[in-house]
Amino acid sequence: MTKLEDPGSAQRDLERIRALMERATEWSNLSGWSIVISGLLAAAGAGECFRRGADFELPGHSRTLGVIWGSVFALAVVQGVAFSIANARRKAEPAWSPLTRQVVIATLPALFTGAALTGYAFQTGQLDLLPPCWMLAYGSSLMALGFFAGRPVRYAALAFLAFGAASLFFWKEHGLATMLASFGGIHLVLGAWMLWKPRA
Amino acid sequence: MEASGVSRLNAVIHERARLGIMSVLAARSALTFGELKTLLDLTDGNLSVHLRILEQAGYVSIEKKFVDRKPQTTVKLSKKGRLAFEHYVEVLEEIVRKK
Repeated sequence: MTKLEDPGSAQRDLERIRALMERATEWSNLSGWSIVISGLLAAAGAGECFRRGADFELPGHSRTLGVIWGSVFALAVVQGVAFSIANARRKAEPAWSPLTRQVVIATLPALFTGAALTGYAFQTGQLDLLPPCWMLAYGSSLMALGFFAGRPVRYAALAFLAFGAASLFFWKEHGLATMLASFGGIHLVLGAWMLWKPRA
Repeated sequence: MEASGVSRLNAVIHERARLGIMSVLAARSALTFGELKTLLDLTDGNLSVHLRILEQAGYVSIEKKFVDRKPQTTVKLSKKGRLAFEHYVEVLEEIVRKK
């Protein structure tokens, strides 16, 4: 602790305070397994689309695409929430804590943007816009989450944003492949990383 | 009048564990007993003792309730506690600036 007129000790105390304050705002209920499962769900969704021949750039598949990706999203959310609640209970913490509330509020605007753009794309029949819009909106949401859940999540967010931008400008005709690579691949890499190197 | 650092540093907050408690509460306002224990790596007994001292100083309030039929203790930083903590940090910064 700080000794009489000891700037070195005071500096160390300030650094400890800063580190503890940062640690207190870390949201550690994000589960590596739930991210892996999200990746597998996305891969399954892409596989089912390939099987049915339902591609984003082909006309007449809006219903099939809506059902498949709507189901993937719903299942990913449900299992993600379930894993988070289980993690909180394991640590004897409240599942709906003030910090969890902050995390949800921070991530919602980007998800709302994605939902609005999804509605617009379906309304106007521009389904090839869906994969880049989803990647950009999800990447933005993930970036917000990353400020609570750690640096690897922010790196994954950057990957989603880069994929989304590239998909929008160059790969619109490869919607399913980019969905598989981003929502499948990035999630699997991030989930595996979190399981391999879990945070304290 | 001693104008040096220690004389102006709040003795209640200055203790290592209590400074830790005040720091995390300054970031989050309210934390459960379990969260505090995990964040600061303190034992139940140790944490209870320091919380009692901070409560007696009026720096934190402690609320006990049942959630899902399990007892849950929530610790909140009071306005007095936040002001004291902010002043404590200002004093530390002043000591560093004088280097």
